Formats: sequence, structure tokens, C-alpha cells
Amino acid sequence: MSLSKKLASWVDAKLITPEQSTQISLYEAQHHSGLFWKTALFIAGQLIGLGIIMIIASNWENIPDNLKLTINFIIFSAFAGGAYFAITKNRPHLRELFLILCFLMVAATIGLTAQIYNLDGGWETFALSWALLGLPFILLSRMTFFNICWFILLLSAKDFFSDLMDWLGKDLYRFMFFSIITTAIGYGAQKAHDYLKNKTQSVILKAFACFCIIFAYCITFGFAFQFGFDDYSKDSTVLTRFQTHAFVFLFLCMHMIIGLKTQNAKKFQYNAAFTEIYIFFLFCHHVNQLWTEGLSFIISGILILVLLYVLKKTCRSINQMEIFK
Amino acid sequence: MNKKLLACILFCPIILLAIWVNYISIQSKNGIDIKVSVTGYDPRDILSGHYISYQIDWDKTDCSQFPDKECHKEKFCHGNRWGISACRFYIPEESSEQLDKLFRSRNNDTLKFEVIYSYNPSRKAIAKQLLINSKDWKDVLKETK
Repeated sequence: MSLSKKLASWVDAKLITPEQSTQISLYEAQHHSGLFWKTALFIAGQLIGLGIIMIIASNWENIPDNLKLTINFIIFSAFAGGAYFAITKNRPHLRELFLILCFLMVAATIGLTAQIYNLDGGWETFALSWALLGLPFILLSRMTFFNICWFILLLSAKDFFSDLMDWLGKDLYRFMFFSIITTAIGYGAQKAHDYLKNKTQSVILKAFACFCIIFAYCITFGFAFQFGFDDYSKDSTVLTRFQTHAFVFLFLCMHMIIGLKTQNAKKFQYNAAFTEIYIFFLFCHHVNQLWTEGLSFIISGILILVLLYVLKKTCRSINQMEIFK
Repeated sequence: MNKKLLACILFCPIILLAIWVNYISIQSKNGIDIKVSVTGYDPRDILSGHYISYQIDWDKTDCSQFPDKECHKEKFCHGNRWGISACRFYIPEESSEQLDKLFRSRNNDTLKFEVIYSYNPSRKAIAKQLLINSKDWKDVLKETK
């Protein structure tokens, strides 16, 4: 429900006065609005920055190398100056635009220098240099998505993803272990961000938390497909498949419980939606005999109903939650 | 945030990059020119532009160019990473197709590809010029047009 609708319903229920409703709207407009502008500026910055990189990549011959470098540094300095202006004048949308442009200009400068002086070295060296030199712009940014991109860049520089896949291999328990650890680290980082929120405006911890949790989801669903479904896992035993599906449901259930505890309705709803989609996918890719599968589905459904009934009757804290009313 | 500190944070990467570029420029100019024989092919790299990816053919390279008459291979690009050589020479987009064709026809014995490096024992060699039959590649492309 949008804020305006919520405010209207609160005014109708006489929880707040119309004047208070107006004050809240104005406050939110000043401090938390601008999703459209933020997104549009991010996309514009991305296009401009990537366009500059592509022009540099074309390696145009018409002007001398020293002039190319000079123009590059002038543009880079202009963007940094723009970021300085936006931060000092408290213009958050412009700030994000210029910080993205500065970050992409780091890549453009490294690429241009490599091109002019024919430097060798693969993606790892380039990505690590880009990540380290671009770090100041990341720390000044308030966009979580931008910070997440930085983490992906940094990890790609260290060959993290391919080394991880090699380590995980075809071991189901390693997948489960890594999924649990990544989720725990993610929630730990989130706690750290909440604790430090008043001391620093950087969102890097929050971005790290988001990255870890999203990564945990990717790993979990990745191994679910690898081990759990007939189309993808010809060598898996029935026990392995059962363990896989049980883990996925426990994983999603855990996130739903965390959503309940933190009163985060969106988190609860997303995980509920994932659960529903997963069940349907399980139904479409049934593994063994239909009769056994059907019976296990029905028993699972009945067990959930029984569990909910018991919870409703016994657990006071759940009964008090809005989501259960 | 303190304005001076903010300016330092924002301009620090620019200054570091400028220092790095100047360092490479000076290194490229200071050094002995060594001509090495190469073989190679041309892929495209979105971030760094078109380049010739090549391997140095040390058997056909004259090691007497080095001060101590020994080929110091460790100072030059080397190694294969997933079948791709680490040696690169960047070329403009408009010339890449023509040069690619020339390179792929390298079995033609009339063409000899070489790269001039700026060599200094204290650092890695930097590629300066691509030669085809001892002429600059740009001149050769003009002649073949």
C-alpha cells in the first residue's frame, strides 16, 4: 500500500489529523522520496559512463595519445568536481549520478592507459585496480545496488566465483554449509549496519549484507536444481533429492520466520512466494511414482495446517502480530 | 564531512592514476628498444578495445640486442591463460578487420610480424610498436588498401 493511501486510512481511522498527514507526506518527500529520479539518473550515468568507455575502446586514431589522456583526465576531474558540488550542496540525486560517472571513469582511464602503452594483464588485474581505485566513490554513494556491483567486481578480480564452484563441486553438504554460512554472514553484516547507521552514512555494510543473502539464495536454488530435479540430476539418489528439497524449504521457512520477527512483511511475502513457486516446480518435475509424490504433498499440507493451528493456540507473540490478524 | 577531506577523497584516485600514467610514460621512453618476433590472432575486448593477442617467438628473436646478449624472457609478457596469450598490442577499431586478415594469413611466408619493446632490466618490458616486414603496421595497411 502506498504512503498516501496509508495516510488516508489513518486519517479516516482518526489515528492522525489531516495536518499531521500533510506533515508526514512533506517529510517523506524531502527525505525518502525520489526513487524515480534516483533510478533514472543511475541509468543515465551508466549509459554516459559506458558510452565513454566504448569510445575509448574504439581507440580512435585521429588525435594523439597524450591529448586522449588529457581529455580523459579533464572529463574525470569534471565529474569529480560535480560530485564535490553535489555533496557539499546536498543534492543526493546529482551526487549518485556523478559518483557513478567517476567510478566508470576509473575503468575508462585504466583501459585507455592499457591501450596506449599496450599493457598486458587479464581481467583480474584490471578488476582489482578498478575496485580499489573506485572504492572512494563507492563509500560516498548511498545506493545499495551500486555498492553490490562493487562487491561483485572485487570478487571477480580474485577469481572467487570459479574457485568457489571448484570447491563446491558435486558435494551437497558443502552447498548446504556454504548457503548457511553466507546467510549468517549476511544477517551479521545487516546487524552491523543497523548498529553503525547513526555513525556513518556509508551503505557498504548493507550492500555486503544484501549481496551475501542474494548469493545464498543463488547457491541454494542452484544446488536445488543440480541435486533435486530429475532433468538435471540423473545421478542423484532419492535420499539426496529429499535432503535437497527439505533444505530448500527449511531455508525459505527460516527467512519467513526472520521476516516475521523483524516485522518485515515484504520479506515474508517474497519468501512465501518463492515457496509456492518451488512447490509448483516440484509438482511439474515429479521424480518418482505419482502416488507416493501425491501422498507426500497431501501429508505436507496437512502438517502445515496442524502446525499453524498449534502455533495460533499456543504462541502469544505470533497472535499479536499484525500479519496473523 | 570536512570539505578538504571530501576533495581529497574524490580527487585521490585521479591523482594516483595520473601518477601511474606518468610513470608508465617515462618507463616507456627510457629503455633499450628490443625487436621480438611474434605470432598471434585478434580477439575483441569491450573494455580495452581491439588488440592483437600474440606470442613471442624467441627462436626467431635476436638475443644479441640485449646488453648481456641473453634473452630475458621473464621481463616480457608470457604465459597462456586458458589458451589466450597475455601479450597484447592495441589497434584502432577501423583498422582491426584489415589487420586481423593480415595476421590470420600469417602462414604466408612473405609476412614477418615483430614488436618493438622498451626494455629495462629493472621492470617489465613495454610494447611500443608493431612492425610488419620491418615497417610500421599503419604504413603497411596504407600500402595494401
